[in-house]
Amino acid sequence: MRSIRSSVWALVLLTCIAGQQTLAQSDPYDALRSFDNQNRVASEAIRAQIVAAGRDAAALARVEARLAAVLADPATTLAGKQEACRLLWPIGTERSVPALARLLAADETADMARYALERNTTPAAARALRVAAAGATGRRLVGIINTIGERRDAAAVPLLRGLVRSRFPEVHDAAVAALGKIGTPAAVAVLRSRPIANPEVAQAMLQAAERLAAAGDRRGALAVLRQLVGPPHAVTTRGAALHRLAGLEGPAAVGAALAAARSGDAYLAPVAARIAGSLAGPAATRACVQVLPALPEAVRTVMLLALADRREPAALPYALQAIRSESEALRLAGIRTAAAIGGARAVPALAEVAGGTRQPDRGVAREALAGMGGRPVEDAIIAAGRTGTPEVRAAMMAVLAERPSPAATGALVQASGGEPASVAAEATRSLGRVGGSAQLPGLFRLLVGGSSEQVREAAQSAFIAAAQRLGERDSAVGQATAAMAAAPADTKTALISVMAELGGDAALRELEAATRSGDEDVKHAAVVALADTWADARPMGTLLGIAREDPSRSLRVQALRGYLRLLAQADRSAAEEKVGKVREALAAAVRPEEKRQALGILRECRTESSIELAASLMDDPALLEEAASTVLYLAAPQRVENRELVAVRGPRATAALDRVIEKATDNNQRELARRLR
Amino acid sequence: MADVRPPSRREALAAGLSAAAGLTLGSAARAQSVPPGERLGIGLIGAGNIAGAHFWPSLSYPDVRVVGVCDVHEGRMQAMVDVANRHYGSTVCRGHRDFRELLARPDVDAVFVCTPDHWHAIQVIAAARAGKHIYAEKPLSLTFAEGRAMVEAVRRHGVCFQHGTQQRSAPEFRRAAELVRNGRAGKIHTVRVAVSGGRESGWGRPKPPPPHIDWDLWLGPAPQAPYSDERFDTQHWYFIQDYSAGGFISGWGVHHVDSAQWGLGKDLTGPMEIEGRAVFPTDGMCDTPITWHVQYTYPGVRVIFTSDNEQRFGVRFEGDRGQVFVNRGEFVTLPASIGRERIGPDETLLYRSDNHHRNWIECIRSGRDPVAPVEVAHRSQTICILSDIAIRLGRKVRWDAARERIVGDPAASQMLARSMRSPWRL
Repeated sequence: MRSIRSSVWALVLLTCIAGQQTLAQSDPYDALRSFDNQNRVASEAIRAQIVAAGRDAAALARVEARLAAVLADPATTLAGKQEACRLLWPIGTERSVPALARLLAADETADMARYALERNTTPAAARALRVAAAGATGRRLVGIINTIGERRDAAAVPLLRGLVRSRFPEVHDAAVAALGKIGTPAAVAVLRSRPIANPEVAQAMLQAAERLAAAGDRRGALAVLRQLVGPPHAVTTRGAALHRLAGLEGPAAVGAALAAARSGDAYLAPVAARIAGSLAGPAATRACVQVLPALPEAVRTVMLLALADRREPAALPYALQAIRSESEALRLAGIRTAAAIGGARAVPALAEVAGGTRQPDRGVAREALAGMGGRPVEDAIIAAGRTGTPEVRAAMMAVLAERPSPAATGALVQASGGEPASVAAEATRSLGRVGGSAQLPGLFRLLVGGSSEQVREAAQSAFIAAAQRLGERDSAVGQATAAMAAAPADTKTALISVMAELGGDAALRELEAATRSGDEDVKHAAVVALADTWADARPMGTLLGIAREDPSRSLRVQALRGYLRLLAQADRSAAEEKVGKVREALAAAVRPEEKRQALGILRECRTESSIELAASLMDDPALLEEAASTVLYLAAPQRVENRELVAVRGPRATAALDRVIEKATDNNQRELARRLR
Repeated sequence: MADVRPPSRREALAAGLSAAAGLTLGSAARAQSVPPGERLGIGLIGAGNIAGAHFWPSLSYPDVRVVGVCDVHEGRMQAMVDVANRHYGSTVCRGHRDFRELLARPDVDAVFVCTPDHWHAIQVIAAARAGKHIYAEKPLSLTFAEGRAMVEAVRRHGVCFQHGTQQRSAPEFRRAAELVRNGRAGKIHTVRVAVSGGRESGWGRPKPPPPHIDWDLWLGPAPQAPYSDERFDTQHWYFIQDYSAGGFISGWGVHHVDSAQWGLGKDLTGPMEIEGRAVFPTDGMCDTPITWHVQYTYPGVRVIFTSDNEQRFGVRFEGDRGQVFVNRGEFVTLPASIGRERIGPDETLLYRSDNHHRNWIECIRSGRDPVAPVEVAHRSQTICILSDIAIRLGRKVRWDAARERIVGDPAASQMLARSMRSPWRL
């Protein structure tokens, strides 16, 4: 049966291939005539001819003529005509216009005829569209008018003058829009004859004003815009007119802009405030800062930032005032404006905010200070870091880390050894981020002998971060190793932690030795460091030994958990090898918590021994449900992150499922096991 | 009813949203802590696949209310409306089939435009005219002319526009661009950009559109075409030229092309020459490149933009002192020391945004431009469009970036715009 079905399919396939080959070998223009949205071989062949013709006008003319013939053929399908129009889109000249003009006369083909004609720059195309418009109605007429507008056909203005009086709103609107795009004085004259309160007319007038301005008719453009900038026009029209007016008149438009900024309208007022604030020149600036305090906060925010964006120094007092506003948006605008224009003068105020507790102000101020350029700013930040309140000084230490320089590093080094502890700790943390090799010994000294616990903790993190960042891990471990013998107990604990973070052979030797220390604190710290922090599988043997034999129950548990953590992340181990190690771990495990951890590893090992070991844990009532779940997970195919995982099969898998059926208390688990079996 | 599910962590990250913003839905009580007058009324135009990446985070923002959803697919639209209303415990969110109804609502302050690409220009321009702030999905436009018209409309009406090139809000992309801009890799001579390629398809089975889909409105300005489930499906229309500008040349390409522009400091300009070749499907409704190799040039710099069968997915800047490679979640420098270098306050610091949505919302209130403004979007998309034109004509295209004109090639120039099906217009 299967072979018969295969033969039928093969026959169908051969027929299709033969059909396509026939189509490709036959004349593609003939094939295009019968195109039915089911085979694009013909159009691809013609497209290849267009590409091959390149800029050869004669070759392109041959293609165009043949496409025109396809269009003129009454037997050509609608889809064939559509496709021919797509092909004519880049290459159309006056040669294809007569055929396309005929398509413009029919509703079903007019849209695609325009597709071919709209970018055809010849006068013949323009004439064809105007002629077609005269005889068209409804949606077809609207489309033709739209294309006339896109072509900016100034010769169509008389035609459009008639069409704007259409009783059909769609035709009226299309004609008005086309006149706006054409934008000649004659087009504007027609638009002026229409009720300007009509939003479509107003929109077209706006576009026409832009066309007039682009053509150099500034006076004509201004006349139109002044007509649109005030009431009773829609606020969107007024905003747009104001925008263009400001572009043409510059600072002279500030009066109109400020009037709109005080309009109270939620859309127009901020748009106008932005425009007003962007107008350069002393008179415009004076006018803006004069009204600024009286503006609503939301509008003031916008104007302030507009002044900031053009680096207007006159805005600084208002920015500093805004920093203390009740409005969050205004406060943030004040911070950003002060940073943009204030230079070193703005630093004390910004430093105060950066050292404060109010968010997001504090973060924005720190970011602003970090991004302010120039040596005077740096000096001012360093000065604030020396003389401000402890909160401000600590904030400046964080800021200096974001703008590294020799002077900044010097200030951080100095502060890291000073008082109070909060400032010293912040300076130390910053050195961890930006300090160089020269700062590592100093950080180590703080780690072992810092004046407070806060500083020592900060130094520990900073020393690790700097050593890792600078690629000086081995020398840092060397320093820690050398200091171990003479260090007091709490420092030894810190050094062990440092070595575990930094890793490497020397650190591992030292830590493994420490797990055998007679000092219980050191031993405990070393086991915890290896179990919780160490990053690779090398200490697994040591940890398993402790898990099996150490007299301390808590250390045995700690070590076993560490062993299982490292085993779980040992991606390169073969599944079978992992299962063996899980088995060893389970032999040392006494608590359900570690056994659960082991089950988690078994889930990732798709072998029979894994499923068998998981099933064996079902004897423990505390693990029954999870062990059964692991068996079912392994016995079923899974899809994880786009990877297909095959089900574990075989006699031991079957036995494991039988065990689930026998022992599980959850009916769903039993049922699933039956189905998987 | 259509399925409306929260985004996965991966989807949220891909959309440039912080995990917290994307995945932690705030309670109605939290939303009520922001005075109603200060809440932005948001509308979604389009409720398909990508809309979820905007809808779910928007529900979590206390200063935002999703008040409207619009889609030509009734079920998809209504499902999203229902979720929003359940979330707010009210009926504040209303559904629309036609985006023009949504834009006419005074309680809509801003919109996400997440429709198929052939709709972006009309909807963005209409939104700007209505005074609505806009977050538009990429790619910006189908044609150069559309993009230019969108720039003008957005600027004319002073609305805040954010483009969905959210890599500009990703720290690794900013870091890469800053290192390159500040010469850490030396003088850049080559940039390699690679993204996913396109696909082939069958023709689908034309049939009458189902009653819950307004097919004529889905087609909108695109040429008339018969409905089929396949054509309506994202995985097909992405790769049909009537609804896209070269398929993934724009759909995915604009992300990394935009990142290359950012790093090169060419945000507001474009290349001098573009040439390329591609492999197209030989049949089926998908007709955009499956694979491509494009090269475009700036003075002293060539950008090699290909599908990812040729180069590694991502953006690689190659300079005379090293390389910087960046992709989503991946940042590698050669030598590694370049990656550890700091950029100081006296160097070029790029616009800092860590969340594309929040940056847009903040800019709506501040009046400032967001990190991916409309001109930048237009310039990046223009490169994708020119790449498609060069490939389709099989020849080098010369581009005058200052005047935004193709030089000496009428056929290529004619391809800078496409006519729209009536009654739609720009």
